[in-house]
Amino acid sequence: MGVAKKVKDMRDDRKNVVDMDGSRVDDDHLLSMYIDNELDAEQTIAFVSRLKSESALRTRLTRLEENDGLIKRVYAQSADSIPHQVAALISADNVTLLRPVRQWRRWTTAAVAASCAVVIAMVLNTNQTAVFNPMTIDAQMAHALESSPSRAAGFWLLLFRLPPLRGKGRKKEKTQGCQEKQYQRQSEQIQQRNQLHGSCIAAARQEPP
Amino acid sequence: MTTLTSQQRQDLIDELPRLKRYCLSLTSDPADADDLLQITVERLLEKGMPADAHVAKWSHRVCKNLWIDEIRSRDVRNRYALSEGVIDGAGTTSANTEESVQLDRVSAAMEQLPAEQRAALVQVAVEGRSYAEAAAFLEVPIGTIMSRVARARKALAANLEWREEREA
Repeated sequence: MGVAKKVKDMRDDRKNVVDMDGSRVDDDHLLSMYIDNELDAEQTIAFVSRLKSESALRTRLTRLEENDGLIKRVYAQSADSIPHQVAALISADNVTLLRPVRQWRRWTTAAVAASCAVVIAMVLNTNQTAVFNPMTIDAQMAHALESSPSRAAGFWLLLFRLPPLRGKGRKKEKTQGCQEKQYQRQSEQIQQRNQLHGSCIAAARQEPP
Repeated sequence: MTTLTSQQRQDLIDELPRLKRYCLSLTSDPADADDLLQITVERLLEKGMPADAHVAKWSHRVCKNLWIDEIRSRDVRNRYALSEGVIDGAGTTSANTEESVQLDRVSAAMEQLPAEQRAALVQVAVEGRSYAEAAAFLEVPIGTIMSRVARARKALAANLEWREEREA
Protein backbone atom coordinates (compact mmCIF):
# COMPACT_ATOMS: atom_id res chain seq x y z
CA MET A 1 0.00 0.00 0.00
CA GLY A 2 1.47 3.33 -1.07
CA VAL A 3 1.82 6.36 1.14
CA ALA A 4 -0.64 8.28 -1.02
CA LYS A 5 -3.27 5.65 -0.29
CA LYS A 6 -2.44 5.88 3.40
CA VAL A 7 -2.80 9.65 3.24
CA LYS A 8 -6.12 9.25 1.53
CA ASP A 9 -7.29 6.94 4.28
CA MET A 10 -6.56 9.36 7.07
CA ARG A 11 -9.68 11.02 8.36
CA ASP A 12 -9.56 13.33 11.34
CA ASP A 13 -9.68 17.02 12.21
CA ARG A 14 -6.10 17.50 13.33
CA LYS A 15 -4.58 20.61 11.85
CA ASN A 16 -1.54 18.97 10.33
CA VAL A 17 -3.14 15.95 8.73
CA VAL A 18 -3.40 16.13 4.98
CA ASP A 19 -6.56 15.41 3.09
CA MET A 20 -5.70 14.33 -0.44
CA ASP A 21 -9.31 13.84 -1.55
CA GLY A 22 -10.26 17.44 -2.16
CA SER A 23 -8.52 20.77 -2.46
CA ARG A 24 -7.55 21.02 1.19
CA VAL A 25 -3.90 19.96 1.29
CA ASP A 26 -1.32 20.75 3.95
CA ASP A 27 1.68 22.11 2.09
CA ASP A 28 4.10 21.12 4.85
CA HIS A 29 3.02 17.50 4.48
CA LEU A 30 3.46 17.65 0.75
CA LEU A 31 6.84 19.35 1.14
CA SER A 32 7.88 16.72 3.64
CA MET A 33 6.87 13.90 1.36
CA TYR A 34 8.57 15.63 -1.58
CA ILE A 35 11.82 15.96 0.40
CA ASP A 36 11.63 12.29 1.37
CA ASN A 37 10.80 11.22 -2.20
CA GLU A 38 7.55 9.68 -1.04
CA LEU A 39 5.18 11.31 -3.54
CA ASP A 40 4.18 9.16 -6.48
CA ALA A 41 5.05 10.26 -10.04
CA GLU A 42 1.78 12.06 -10.67
CA GLN A 43 1.93 13.96 -7.38
CA THR A 44 5.56 14.84 -7.94
CA ILE A 45 4.88 16.39 -11.35
CA ALA A 46 1.99 18.40 -9.96
CA PHE A 47 4.03 19.56 -7.00
CA VAL A 48 7.05 20.55 -9.07
CA SER A 49 4.84 22.74 -11.25
CA ARG A 50 3.55 24.41 -8.11
CA LEU A 51 7.09 24.97 -6.90
CA LYS A 52 7.95 26.73 -10.15
CA SER A 53 5.11 29.18 -9.78
CA GLU A 54 4.97 29.70 -6.00
CA SER A 55 7.98 31.45 -4.51
CA ALA A 56 6.67 31.10 -0.94
CA LEU A 57 6.51 27.34 -1.39
CA ARG A 58 10.09 27.34 -2.77
CA THR A 59 11.30 29.39 0.20
CA ARG A 60 9.60 27.01 2.58
CA LEU A 61 11.16 24.02 0.82
CA THR A 62 14.61 25.59 1.06
CA ARG A 63 14.10 26.25 4.74
CA LEU A 64 12.98 22.70 5.50
CA GLU A 65 15.89 21.23 3.54
CA GLU A 66 18.36 23.48 5.39
CA ASN A 67 16.88 22.32 8.68
CA ASP A 68 17.30 18.69 7.59
CA GLY A 69 20.96 19.42 6.83
CA LEU A 70 21.46 20.89 10.30
CA ILE A 71 19.76 17.89 11.95
CA LYS A 72 22.10 15.56 10.05
CA ARG A 73 25.12 17.49 11.29
CA VAL A 74 23.91 17.42 14.90
CA TYR A 75 23.40 13.66 14.73
CA ALA A 76 26.62 13.08 12.81
CA GLN A 77 28.49 14.72 15.71
CA SER A 78 26.69 12.37 18.07
CA ALA A 79 27.67 9.26 16.13
CA ASP A 80 31.31 10.40 16.07
CA SER A 81 31.44 10.38 19.84
CA ILE A 82 30.72 6.74 20.63
CA PRO A 83 32.36 5.89 23.94
CA HIS A 84 35.40 3.75 23.10
CA GLN A 85 34.69 1.38 25.98
CA VAL A 86 31.41 0.32 24.35
CA ALA A 87 33.09 -1.10 21.24
CA ALA A 88 35.82 -2.58 23.43
CA LEU A 89 33.15 -4.24 25.57
CA ILE A 90 31.59 -5.90 22.52
CA SER A 91 34.95 -6.99 21.08
CA ALA A 92 36.18 -8.54 24.30
CA ASP A 93 35.81 -12.32 24.44
CA ASN A 94 34.60 -14.25 27.45
CA VAL A 95 33.36 -11.16 29.23
CA THR A 96 30.97 -11.88 32.07
CA LEU A 97 29.01 -8.95 33.39
CA LEU A 98 28.56 -9.47 37.09
CA ARG A 99 26.24 -6.48 37.31
CA PRO A 100 25.32 -3.59 35.04
CA VAL A 101 28.39 -1.35 34.91
CA ARG A 102 26.62 1.71 33.65
CA GLN A 103 23.94 3.55 35.55
CA TRP A 104 22.01 6.62 34.52
CA ARG A 105 24.60 9.30 35.24
CA ARG A 106 22.24 12.20 35.08
CA TRP A 107 19.97 10.93 37.82
CA THR A 108 22.74 9.41 39.86
CA THR A 109 24.51 12.75 39.78
CA ALA A 110 21.34 14.52 40.75
CA ALA A 111 20.76 12.13 43.65
CA VAL A 112 24.35 12.49 44.86
CA ALA A 113 24.16 16.28 44.50
CA ALA A 114 20.92 16.37 46.49
CA SER A 115 22.43 14.20 49.24
CA CYS A 116 25.54 16.41 49.38
CA ALA A 117 23.37 19.53 49.56
CA VAL A 118 21.46 18.09 52.51
CA VAL A 119 24.67 17.12 54.33
CA ILE A 120 26.27 20.53 53.68
CA ALA A 121 23.13 22.29 54.86
CA MET A 122 23.13 20.20 58.04
CA VAL A 123 26.81 20.89 58.69
CA LEU A 124 26.46 24.61 58.07
CA ASN A 125 23.41 24.75 60.28
CA THR A 126 25.21 22.86 63.05
CA ASN A 127 28.23 25.11 62.79
CA GLN A 128 26.13 28.23 62.91
CA THR A 129 24.25 27.15 66.00
CA ALA A 130 27.48 25.94 67.59
CA VAL A 131 29.11 29.37 67.35
CA PHE A 132 29.45 30.79 70.85
CA ASN A 133 27.57 34.05 70.75
CA PRO A 134 26.78 35.23 74.27
CA MET A 135 24.02 37.55 73.07
CA THR A 136 22.07 34.67 71.62
CA ILE A 137 22.10 32.54 74.75
CA ASP A 138 19.80 34.42 77.05
CA ALA A 139 19.54 37.64 78.97
CA GLN A 140 20.91 36.03 82.08
CA MET A 141 24.12 34.96 80.41
CA ALA A 142 24.49 38.26 78.54
CA HIS A 143 24.09 40.25 81.70
CA ALA A 144 26.52 38.09 83.61
CA LEU A 145 29.14 38.40 80.89
CA GLU A 146 28.78 42.15 80.66
CA SER A 147 29.07 42.63 84.38
CA SER A 148 31.72 40.01 85.19
CA PRO A 149 35.42 39.81 84.36
CA SER A 150 36.33 37.06 81.95
CA ARG A 151 36.49 33.64 83.65
CA ALA A 152 36.12 35.35 86.99
CA ALA A 153 35.61 33.33 90.11
CA GLY A 154 31.94 32.58 90.55
CA PHE A 155 31.17 32.73 86.81
CA TRP A 156 30.44 29.03 86.65
CA LEU A 157 28.30 29.29 89.75
CA LEU A 158 26.24 31.87 87.91
CA LEU A 159 25.87 29.58 84.95
CA PHE A 160 24.62 26.64 86.95
CA ARG A 161 22.73 28.17 89.85
CA LEU A 162 20.53 30.85 88.33
CA PRO A 163 17.10 29.66 87.16
CA PRO A 164 16.16 30.17 83.49
CA LEU A 165 13.82 32.96 82.46
CA ARG A 166 10.18 31.91 82.41
CA GLY A 167 6.83 33.56 81.77
CA LYS A 168 4.64 34.73 78.87
CA GLY A 169 3.37 38.13 77.70
CA ARG A 170 3.00 40.81 80.35
CA LYS A 171 3.64 38.28 83.07
CA LYS A 172 6.86 37.43 81.33
CA GLU A 173 7.93 41.09 81.32
CA LYS A 174 7.23 41.37 85.04
CA THR A 175 9.04 38.13 85.71
CA GLN A 176 11.94 39.26 83.60
CA GLY A 177 12.06 42.61 85.51
CA CYS A 178 12.24 40.80 88.83
CA GLN A 179 14.82 38.39 87.56
CA GLU A 180 16.95 41.20 86.16
CA LYS A 181 17.03 42.82 89.57
CA GLN A 182 17.93 39.47 91.07
CA TYR A 183 20.69 39.03 88.49
CA GLN A 184 21.94 42.53 89.19
CA ARG A 185 22.17 41.79 92.90
CA GLN A 186 23.90 38.51 92.25
CA SER A 187 26.38 40.09 89.84
CA GLU A 188 27.18 42.75 92.46
CA GLN A 189 27.79 39.95 94.93
CA ILE A 190 30.00 38.23 92.38
CA GLN A 191 31.96 41.39 91.79
CA GLN A 192 32.46 41.77 95.54
CA ARG A 193 33.52 38.12 95.70
CA ASN A 194 35.93 38.67 92.83
CA GLN A 195 37.41 41.69 94.48
CA LEU A 196 37.79 39.70 97.69
CA HIS A 197 39.28 36.81 95.73
CA GLY A 198 41.65 39.18 93.94
CA SER A 199 42.75 40.80 97.16
CA CYS A 200 43.33 37.36 98.72
CA ILE A 201 45.53 36.39 95.79
CA ALA A 202 47.41 39.67 96.02
CA ALA A 203 47.89 39.17 99.74
CA ALA A 204 49.12 35.63 99.18
CA ARG A 205 51.62 36.85 96.63
CA GLN A 206 52.92 39.49 99.01
CA GLU A 207 53.40 36.97 101.81
CA PRO A 208 56.93 35.64 102.09
CA PRO A 209 57.30 31.92 101.34
CA MET B 1 20.99 -17.35 23.87
CA THR B 2 23.42 -16.31 26.54
CA THR B 3 26.29 -15.10 24.41
CA LEU B 4 26.65 -13.30 21.13
CA THR B 5 28.34 -15.04 18.23
CA SER B 6 31.39 -13.39 16.73
CA GLN B 7 29.31 -12.39 13.69
CA GLN B 8 26.66 -10.83 15.92
CA ARG B 9 29.37 -8.93 17.80
CA GLN B 10 30.77 -7.57 14.55
CA ASP B 11 27.28 -6.61 13.32
CA LEU B 12 26.65 -4.87 16.62
CA ILE B 13 29.89 -2.88 16.33
CA ASP B 14 28.90 -1.87 12.79
CA GLU B 15 25.49 -0.86 14.08
CA LEU B 16 26.83 1.35 16.88
CA PRO B 17 26.72 4.70 15.01
CA ARG B 18 23.09 4.16 13.99
CA LEU B 19 22.27 2.87 17.47
CA LYS B 20 23.88 5.95 19.01
CA ARG B 21 21.84 8.27 16.78
CA TYR B 22 18.73 6.32 17.72
CA CYS B 23 19.63 6.75 21.41
CA LEU B 24 19.96 10.50 20.86
CA SER B 25 16.66 10.64 19.01
CA LEU B 26 14.99 8.93 21.97
CA THR B 27 16.66 10.86 24.76
CA SER B 28 17.52 14.19 23.06
CA ASP B 29 20.33 14.50 25.58
CA PRO B 30 23.94 13.53 24.69
CA ALA B 31 24.79 12.23 28.17
CA ASP B 32 21.60 10.19 28.35
CA ALA B 33 22.27 8.89 24.85
CA ASP B 34 25.73 7.66 25.93
CA ASP B 35 24.21 5.98 28.98
CA LEU B 36 21.42 4.39 26.97
CA LEU B 37 23.89 3.09 24.38
CA GLN B 38 26.09 1.46 26.96
CA ILE B 39 23.22 0.02 28.95
CA THR B 40 21.79 -1.41 25.72
CA VAL B 41 25.10 -3.03 24.82
CA GLU B 42 25.47 -4.42 28.33
CA ARG B 43 21.98 -5.87 28.17
CA LEU B 44 22.68 -7.47 24.78
CA LEU B 45 25.93 -8.98 26.07
CA GLU B 46 24.24 -10.18 29.21
CA LYS B 47 21.08 -11.65 27.65
CA GLY B 48 22.36 -12.41 24.15
CA MET B 49 20.04 -12.74 21.18
CA PRO B 50 18.68 -15.58 19.03
CA ALA B 51 21.08 -16.87 16.39
CA ASP B 52 18.73 -15.86 13.58
CA ALA B 53 17.91 -12.42 15.00
CA HIS B 54 18.45 -9.32 12.91
CA VAL B 55 21.07 -7.52 14.99
CA ALA B 56 20.00 -3.98 14.05
CA LYS B 57 16.31 -4.53 14.70
CA TRP B 58 16.94 -6.55 17.86
CA SER B 59 19.35 -4.00 19.34
CA HIS B 60 17.05 -1.08 18.51
CA ARG B 61 14.12 -2.86 20.11
CA VAL B 62 16.12 -3.57 23.27
CA CYS B 63 17.24 0.05 23.29
CA LYS B 64 13.68 1.35 22.98
CA ASN B 65 12.40 -0.94 25.74
CA LEU B 66 15.21 0.14 28.08
CA TRP B 67 14.38 3.78 27.40
CA ILE B 68 10.68 3.16 28.06
CA ASP B 69 11.62 1.55 31.40
CA GLU B 70 13.79 4.54 32.23
CA ILE B 71 11.08 7.02 31.24
CA ARG B 72 8.62 5.23 33.51
CA SER B 73 11.00 5.22 36.45
CA ARG B 74 11.83 8.90 35.85
CA ASP B 75 8.14 9.66 35.83
CA VAL B 76 7.86 8.07 39.26
CA ARG B 77 10.96 9.93 40.46
CA ASN B 78 9.64 13.23 39.06
CA ARG B 79 6.50 12.90 41.10
CA TYR B 80 8.54 12.76 44.27
CA ALA B 81 11.41 15.01 43.23
CA LEU B 82 12.17 17.85 45.60
CA SER B 83 13.67 20.12 42.99
CA GLU B 84 14.39 20.11 39.27
CA GLY B 85 17.08 22.76 39.37
CA VAL B 86 19.86 20.27 40.11
CA ILE B 87 19.84 18.66 36.68
CA ASP B 88 19.39 21.72 34.52
CA GLY B 89 21.93 22.81 31.96
CA ALA B 90 22.69 19.52 30.20
CA GLY B 91 23.25 19.46 26.46
CA THR B 92 24.51 22.99 25.99
CA THR B 93 27.86 24.10 24.67
CA SER B 94 29.79 27.21 25.47
CA ALA B 95 31.15 27.81 22.00
CA ASN B 96 29.75 30.96 20.47
CA THR B 97 30.60 30.66 16.82
CA GLU B 98 27.78 31.14 14.38
CA GLU B 99 27.86 27.50 13.34
CA SER B 100 27.79 26.09 16.84
CA VAL B 101 25.07 28.54 17.82
CA GLN B 102 23.02 27.29 14.91
CA LEU B 103 23.61 23.65 15.84
CA ASP B 104 22.76 24.42 19.46
CA ARG B 105 19.49 25.93 18.29
CA VAL B 106 18.70 22.80 16.30
CA SER B 107 19.57 20.56 19.27
CA ALA B 108 17.34 22.60 21.53
CA ALA B 109 14.51 22.59 19.00
CA MET B 110 14.85 18.84 18.52
CA GLU B 111 14.67 18.42 22.26
CA GLN B 112 11.34 20.22 22.27
CA LEU B 113 9.79 17.76 19.83
CA PRO B 114 7.68 14.88 21.14
CA ALA B 115 9.86 11.76 21.32
CA GLU B 116 7.86 9.82 18.73
CA GLN B 117 8.11 12.66 16.20
CA ARG B 118 11.83 13.06 16.86
CA ALA B 119 12.45 9.33 16.39
CA ALA B 120 10.49 9.27 13.11
CA LEU B 121 12.29 12.35 11.78
CA VAL B 122 15.72 10.93 12.63
CA GLN B 123 14.94 7.59 10.97
CA VAL B 124 13.85 9.32 7.77
CA ALA B 125 15.92 12.53 7.56
CA VAL B 126 19.15 11.31 9.19
CA GLU B 127 19.20 7.57 8.56
CA GLY B 128 17.71 7.96 5.09
CA ARG B 129 15.07 5.29 5.57
CA SER B 130 11.92 5.29 3.48
CA TYR B 131 8.59 5.72 5.25
CA ALA B 132 7.95 1.99 4.85
CA GLU B 133 11.34 1.06 6.31
CA ALA B 134 10.96 3.52 9.19
CA ALA B 135 7.46 2.21 9.86
CA ALA B 136 8.75 -1.36 10.04
CA PHE B 137 11.65 -0.29 12.20
CA LEU B 138 9.59 1.72 14.67
CA GLU B 139 6.69 -0.73 14.45
CA VAL B 140 4.04 1.83 13.54
CA PRO B 141 1.86 2.26 10.41
CA ILE B 142 3.33 4.06 7.39
CA GLY B 143 0.73 6.82 7.62
CA THR B 144 1.82 7.48 11.19
CA ILE B 145 5.43 7.91 10.06
CA MET B 146 4.38 10.30 7.31
CA SER B 147 2.33 12.36 9.71
CA ARG B 148 4.99 12.38 12.45
CA VAL B 149 7.79 13.37 10.08
CA ALA B 150 5.77 16.22 8.57
CA ARG B 151 4.63 17.52 11.95
CA ALA B 152 8.16 17.25 13.31
CA ARG B 153 9.56 19.31 10.42
CA LYS B 154 6.84 21.90 10.82
CA ALA B 155 7.28 22.20 14.59
CA LEU B 156 11.06 22.30 14.25
CA ALA B 157 10.91 25.07 11.66
CA ALA B 158 8.54 27.10 13.84
CA ASN B 159 10.74 26.59 16.89
CA LEU B 160 13.90 27.61 15.03
CA GLU B 161 12.24 30.74 13.63
CA TRP B 162 11.09 31.67 17.12
CA ARG B 163 14.60 31.18 18.52
CA GLU B 164 16.20 33.21 15.75
CA GLU B 165 13.77 36.10 16.28
CA ARG B 166 14.27 35.98 20.02
CA GLU B 167 18.06 36.02 19.72
CA ALA B 168 18.15 38.64 16.96
